[in-house]
Amino acid sequence: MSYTTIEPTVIDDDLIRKAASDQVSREIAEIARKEGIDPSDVTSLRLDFKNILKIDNLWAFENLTKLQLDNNIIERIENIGFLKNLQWLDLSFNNITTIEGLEGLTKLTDLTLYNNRISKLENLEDLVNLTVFSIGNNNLLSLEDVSIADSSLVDLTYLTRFPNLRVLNAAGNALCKNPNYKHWVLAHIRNLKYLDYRLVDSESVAAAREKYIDDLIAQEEEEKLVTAKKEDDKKREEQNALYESANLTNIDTLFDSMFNDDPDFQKLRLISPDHVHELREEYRAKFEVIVGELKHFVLKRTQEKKDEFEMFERCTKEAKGVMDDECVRELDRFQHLKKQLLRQISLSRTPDETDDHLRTLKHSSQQLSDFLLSSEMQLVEQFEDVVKEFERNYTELSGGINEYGQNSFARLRELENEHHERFGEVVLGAYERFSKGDVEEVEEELRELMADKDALVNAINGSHDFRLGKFDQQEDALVSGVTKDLESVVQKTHDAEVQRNRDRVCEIVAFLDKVAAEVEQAEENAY
Amino acid sequence: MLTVPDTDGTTHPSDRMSRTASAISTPRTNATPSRRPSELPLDAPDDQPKKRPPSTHTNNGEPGAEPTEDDETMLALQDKLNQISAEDLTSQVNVLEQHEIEYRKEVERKKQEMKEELLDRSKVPESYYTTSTKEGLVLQFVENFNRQYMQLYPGRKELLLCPKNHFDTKKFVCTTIRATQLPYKELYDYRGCARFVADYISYEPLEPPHELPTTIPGPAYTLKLQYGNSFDYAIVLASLLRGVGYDAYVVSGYATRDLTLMNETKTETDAIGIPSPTNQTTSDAQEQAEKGEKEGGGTGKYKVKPPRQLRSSFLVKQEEKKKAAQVKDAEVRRLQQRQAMEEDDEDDDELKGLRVHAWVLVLPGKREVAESFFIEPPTGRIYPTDNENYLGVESVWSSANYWVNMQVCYDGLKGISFDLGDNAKWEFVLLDNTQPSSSANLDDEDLKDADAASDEEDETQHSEILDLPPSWVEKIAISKEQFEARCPSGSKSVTYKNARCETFAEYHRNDGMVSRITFFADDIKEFNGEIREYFSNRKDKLRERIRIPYLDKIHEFFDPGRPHGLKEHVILEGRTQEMHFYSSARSDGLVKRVEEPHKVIEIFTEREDFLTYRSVTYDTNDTDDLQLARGSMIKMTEKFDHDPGHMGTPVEDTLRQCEDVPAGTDAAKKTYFVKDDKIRVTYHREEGRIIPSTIEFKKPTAEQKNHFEVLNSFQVNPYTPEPKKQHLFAHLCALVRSEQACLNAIKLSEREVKEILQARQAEEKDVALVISVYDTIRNQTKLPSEDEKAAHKGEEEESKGTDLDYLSPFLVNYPDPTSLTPTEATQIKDACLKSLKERLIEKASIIQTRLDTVTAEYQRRQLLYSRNADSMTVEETEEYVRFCNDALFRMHILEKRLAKHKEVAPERYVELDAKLRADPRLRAAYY
Repeated sequence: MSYTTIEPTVIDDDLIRKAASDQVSREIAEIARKEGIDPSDVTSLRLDFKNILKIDNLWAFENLTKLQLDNNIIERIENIGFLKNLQWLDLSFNNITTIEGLEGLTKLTDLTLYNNRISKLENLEDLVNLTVFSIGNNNLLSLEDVSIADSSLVDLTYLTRFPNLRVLNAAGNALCKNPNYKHWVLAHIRNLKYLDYRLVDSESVAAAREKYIDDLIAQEEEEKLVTAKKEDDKKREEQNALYESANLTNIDTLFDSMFNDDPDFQKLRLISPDHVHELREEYRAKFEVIVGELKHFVLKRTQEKKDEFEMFERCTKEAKGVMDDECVRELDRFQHLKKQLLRQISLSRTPDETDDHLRTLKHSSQQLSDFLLSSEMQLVEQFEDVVKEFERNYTELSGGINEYGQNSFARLRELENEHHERFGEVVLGAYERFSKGDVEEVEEELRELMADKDALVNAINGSHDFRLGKFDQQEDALVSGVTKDLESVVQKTHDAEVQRNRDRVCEIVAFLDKVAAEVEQAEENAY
Repeated sequence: MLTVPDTDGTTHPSDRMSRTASAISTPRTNATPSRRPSELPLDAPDDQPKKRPPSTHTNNGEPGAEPTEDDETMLALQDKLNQISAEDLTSQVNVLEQHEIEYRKEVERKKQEMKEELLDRSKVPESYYTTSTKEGLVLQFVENFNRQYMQLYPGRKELLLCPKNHFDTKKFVCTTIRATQLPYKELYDYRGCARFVADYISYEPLEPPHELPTTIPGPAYTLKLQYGNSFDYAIVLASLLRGVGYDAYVVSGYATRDLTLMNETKTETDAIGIPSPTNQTTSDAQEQAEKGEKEGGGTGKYKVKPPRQLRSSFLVKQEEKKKAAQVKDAEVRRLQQRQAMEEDDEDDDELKGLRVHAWVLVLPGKREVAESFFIEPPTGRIYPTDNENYLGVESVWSSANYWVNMQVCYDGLKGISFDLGDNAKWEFVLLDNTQPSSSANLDDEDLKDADAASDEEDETQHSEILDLPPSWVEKIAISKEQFEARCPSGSKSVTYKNARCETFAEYHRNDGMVSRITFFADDIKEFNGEIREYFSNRKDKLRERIRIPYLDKIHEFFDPGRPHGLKEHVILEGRTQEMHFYSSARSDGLVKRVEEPHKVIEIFTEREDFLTYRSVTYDTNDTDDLQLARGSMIKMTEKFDHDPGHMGTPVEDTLRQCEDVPAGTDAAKKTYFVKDDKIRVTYHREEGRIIPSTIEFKKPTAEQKNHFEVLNSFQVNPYTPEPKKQHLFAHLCALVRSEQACLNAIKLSEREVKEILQARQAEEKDVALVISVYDTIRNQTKLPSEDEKAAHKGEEEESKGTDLDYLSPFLVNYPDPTSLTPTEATQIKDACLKSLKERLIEKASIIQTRLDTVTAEYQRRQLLYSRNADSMTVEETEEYVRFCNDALFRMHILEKRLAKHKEVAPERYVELDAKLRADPRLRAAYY
């Protein structure tokens, strides 16, 4: 049967099943064949020389780490994006023209695209862990002007983004004819251990780096910038996360947004920019003091809350540990006793003796059951006590935060009122002057505004209301956030405890059932 | 002035003097004052300890404490230990016994030899057996003093002034002290000196105990013999101390029985830094208790309420009361017991206050000594001058002078002043009282004093005063070997209240023992006796052996470096019970191997597969007394730690995949029931669970390879789905493999144990000691000295010169080879050159003929091959090819050699010619 006579196929169930069952170890093969293989158990799949045209039907193999699809006639990489655990993918000797469909395969470390028809490196951004990459015998840059220095190699710059790349095979591409190919690669891709089947020696790396020193410096600087930016972002994110956890999101930008987002204020500001600005700065100073205090307090309390929770956790954990140890000891004792008794039962000659042993066994298992369940009960009781105490403390802390928040906002409102009054005065003063005709050069828009005193007053009030609204919003976020946090924490601890209790009781019951079954078995055997 | 100044004598009221005498000779404990030494009970010698342990003395159990008739508890203890030793004799300790007996004999013989040698007059300076005029003068003077003293104080005991030395020559006791500084830095300090003297010399009590010794042989003799009484000790120590600048004196006086007999049986070993095993255990317990307390304290803010105790508080109280009463009772009883013991211990010595003793006094003022103190030379311990063990002082002397005590010793030495300059309290013998504390000349003579003290002679300003002759004793010398050996003829034994310590010099005993501590049984502490032996330089690395005869237990400790990394070996009733290993020295990380009658347990640590425990259980039914025939194997158990995943080691380092194995699927214990063909696996407990999952398989049989059965399984979580058969089977296959591995490991371990036991037996039978390469004393003999080497070298060269006389074959025909006539010389020269030429030609022809034969053979074979190449088999062809290669190679070599020879031959000829020309014997031929 020659290669050409086989029909091009699509990967289907039969094919996969056959491949999977061929791979299981010989000793369990027979059983496996009878029983069938669960796709989620398969970690590697070999589908080479199968004349496959289309990849398909692989979605059940979620735990696949190794997939071999070499020596087929695949034209497109498709339907493998969901194999999140894939570490090794072999697509060599196929007819692939473009790299695609590899998005989301972040765990991939080995990728072989040897001997295909790929002409461009692309769509590999997600493969952050790539260590081995083979792209040999492809059509990378089969341009005529390969001799034109390094420009032809720029395509390989794409590979510098993989920090773990150790093995690269690009031989057999047109671009390799470029005399600078090797040096360029060695200089630009750091940490490379093997290039085109050869071990990279440190000397040639040094030489290559020498040659491209300028490039490298530029590259390094760029990287530095990027990392600095990343760090900044990270810091900001951390800060935001901190505020978020304290329910103080956007508090830093509150003041600016109070004014900048207000259309009325933007208009009114023009009436007397200097005065308004002065006023605003004054306002800002006072505002910042209060907000600063608020921030400090809330953050501190939030930390306290966290500590409180941790302490509580530790306590319960310890209590559980102590109780568990006790139970384990008791269990071990029982297991030992059971072992001895069962042996004695099997050895005993007279029915009386057997009865006797059986009775002790049953009795002790009853005792064990009592002990385990009562200690579980005790644990639950202890837990409830502690939880109550914890809830009380936690509520207190949360209440403290809310109270302080409300106070602060009340103070802010007062400030706002004061500011509003003065602002109104300033604006109305300007209006007076304007109506008297003191001011000469006035813009058209402003003139319009000044024309109507009611509208002006409305605008002032509107701006005031807007700012108060902002306060309300912020306050609400804080208070409701804190309350929600309280509720969720309490709920969570309760749920966890209930779950634990259920599991434990379940465990104990299951064990007791098993013991009972064993005893029964022994009884049966004895008679 | 040769007489004792009368003024001094008269200053002492006679009544006071007599009181002194009676005080000294009367025991404090209301013994009749009229009792004279002559009326003493004759059983006095019984008080003596055995001089040396007799040769029948065994090395186990027996405490060696002298049975004192009044001390019943001691006797009881000894009885017990004797019993133990009797039992012990039957066991396998016989080899060790043999070492002991041989050793005792050797010691006795050596001592006798040494004594004889020391009495040889030819080997000692003349001063030993003669009396110089100066000495005679001094002796006369001292006699005079003595006569007056006896007359004035008839009630007082005679003084030790001029005892005889071992050559029966009378010597003034001051000249017996020979201040010497030895070149060892340990001996620069008084503690070091005391320790050294105590260790180096072994003690012989005075006999009879209430009389002064008749002979004082001098420090050199004592140090050589390494035996001595308290006087010998004190003189040696004073000599050494004065040598390094201390103001040391020998004190002659009276002391308690314990001191005079060097009876340390009242001191606990803990007091001298040897912790006894009984105390150790208690301290351990204490530590543990402390630990527990520490752990108990310090938790967070929250605390769970302790569960309610449903108990009657009344009953609890009653219980407590009862307990308290019991404790009290026990305490009272113990107290009574102790009191009884103490009463037993109370001194009822008839000779109290009469036992003569000598020790060393160090006065302040020199070498930064701030306060005067006593050194007890036999034990090397330091006492204050008012210690209750010292009961009286008769006299004090140094190498400079002799002082007689004029103070009353009512209450021991309390209140006795050692200001030797005080003439009212101390009567001096020689007038030149150089005692520095005579305040007048202290300051200006400070430096000079030091010199004067270390010199034998006093040079004083009063020329008319009799000065002391130089010491008659030869200089004290101790070689490095002796200094290192320390103990008297290599061994020393001290008995304490609860133990006896024996010390041996390194390499002294054939079995390498350096010390042995025998702890006596103690009923009160419920302790049954223990012997600890320490070894050094043993080839088998044995360091310590603890024997508990009561339990028939031997515990041996080894230094690192043995094969198999053996660290400890516990033998109980002749059977190996436990073996501990240096786990870091072993590839399998074995820590301990415990053998129980039907079970062998091995404990491991730091293994890559997290194995911590492996045990084998043997059938209890077919028991055999012989260890060899253990019953058949019933089951094997392996326990594993939970794989902590990537916690400790970085992921890259570990070869195995470090993915977190969930506890529920990681085996904690695998039990292989070999007999029942079952395997049970117990998994680790999952987080928050108290019951582990288990599964039990029936192993597939040979006929039905794929058939298996899950006999019993328990899943903690009832909701986990039933595992698939294929997985179970794969698991089982892995288990069967690991069972095989376990079996192999057990077999290996058994073999190893056998090897170890065999090695141990062989080692104990023939103990080998190793000598460190840094040991200069013992390695010296092995290295040939430089001189020897040089001599050897010279010899060699000589022989070379004679052997290679190239002219000798040609010179034989001439009667006188040294003076040759020119013709003769020319003849010889020609003959010589001719012979060389012939030889060279001969050699060339040999090479040529060889080459010819090889070539001929090669050609022949070639011809043969070309003729019937077609009909040859493959092997033949191969053989031919091989031959061709070989022949070609040889031809090539021979050709090369020939060419080389042709090149070299003329050179050799020219060389010989030049040599002959240079030869002095043939000079005639060239002139």
